[in-house]
Amino acid sequence: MGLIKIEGKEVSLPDAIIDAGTSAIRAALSVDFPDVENADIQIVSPTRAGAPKAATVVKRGTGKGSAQREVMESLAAAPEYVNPAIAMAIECMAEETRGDQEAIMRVIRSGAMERAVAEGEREGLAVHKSQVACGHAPPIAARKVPIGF
Amino acid sequence: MQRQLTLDMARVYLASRARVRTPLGAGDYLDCSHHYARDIYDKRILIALACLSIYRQLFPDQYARSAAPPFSTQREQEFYRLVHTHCFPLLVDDGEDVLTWIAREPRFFLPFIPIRGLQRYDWFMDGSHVKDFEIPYQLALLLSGALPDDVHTIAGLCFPADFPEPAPPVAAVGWSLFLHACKVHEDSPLRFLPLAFHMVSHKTGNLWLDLPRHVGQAAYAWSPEEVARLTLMRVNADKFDIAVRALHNWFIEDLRARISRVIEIWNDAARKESEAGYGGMTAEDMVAVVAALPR
Repeated sequence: MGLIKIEGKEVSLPDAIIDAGTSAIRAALSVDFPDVENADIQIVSPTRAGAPKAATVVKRGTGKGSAQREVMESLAAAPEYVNPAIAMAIECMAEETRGDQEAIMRVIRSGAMERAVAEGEREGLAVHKSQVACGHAPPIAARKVPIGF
Repeated sequence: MQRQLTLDMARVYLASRARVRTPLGAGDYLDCSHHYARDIYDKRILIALACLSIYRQLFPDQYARSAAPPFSTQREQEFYRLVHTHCFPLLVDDGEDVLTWIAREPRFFLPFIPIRGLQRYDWFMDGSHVKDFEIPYQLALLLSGALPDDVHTIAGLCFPADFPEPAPPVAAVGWSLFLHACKVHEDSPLRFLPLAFHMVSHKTGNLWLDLPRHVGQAAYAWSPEEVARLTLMRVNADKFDIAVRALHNWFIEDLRARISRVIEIWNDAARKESEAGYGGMTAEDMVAVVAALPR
């Protein structure tokens, strides 16, 4: 029997499974340790003859670093967007400057102004919620133990 | 230097341009610009936008069917009517609701949600009408020592001739015993009696009931959360009222026996409190006693 170190415990698995590779180990452990799906498995060769085969399972970090990366990637991939209320205000201001006083009446009558303000408020609220969520950073387990602990 | 156009600035700009194209909105603008600084008018528009946003979220069908011009005072007033009818009363002055004010003043608006106490009686000012109160209220006033000195009857019954003289108001331990004794009567409306005590002392935890009528009004900012919270509180306030009326009817079925039973429960709680040596001890004193106990 081989020994698997996972989450601070030692689990025995038949040598055949360890010999079959990381996929087999992952499949065997997945029932009791669902997080093993996203873990790194390192098979350790026995250092002396007759020693049991061993493998170490280390969970992949899902810490603040990766979350920050995800946020940055999402921001980079986001399309150009101007809040509809701001876009309409800019458009109406420009029309007013050009002397077209009827432009505002047209967007009021068509309902476009109400839609733009409603959509703008909805989007503003969503941005506010995102800002609050970004500022909310509860402590999470780190992958490495800091020196001194 | 160019100013950055924020979302609020954009909303105020668009809404104010739409409003000034209505007669009432134009009047608002002229009044504000004549008497106040520009930012006062902007604040007025932001309040209107907050109300209309709640209108759109809470009453989407009525908003979609509204014939009033967008962002107009009339649409704001439609929203007040809906809140007053479906959520909670918007009482501007004592005895005058928002509908009266809208009829009287076409440009009327509410800068905040006005909250006025909705209890039917003013326990301090209506002391001379105590005989008109429901029996649970009369009993609560009697037992908590708040009954006027010249009143010696409850629902027409005299004490100590018709029922025993009640013990003086109990303290923390006696009150806990009394609460427990009321709550064990799960199948009878007697379990609602503590509610009458909370009502007369304005300690129900419900804003509509805890604000005495004679102290004026409280004000809350317009937001969907506040409207929802106050609506739920209003529903609960109605439930409290129904519970006290049910208890009143329960007393009437067998007046003398049931009032006597309540006095017995009260006196029993007072006696046990006194025997245990906790007489006159407040809840804070109790916390200190428990903290000092050896572990």
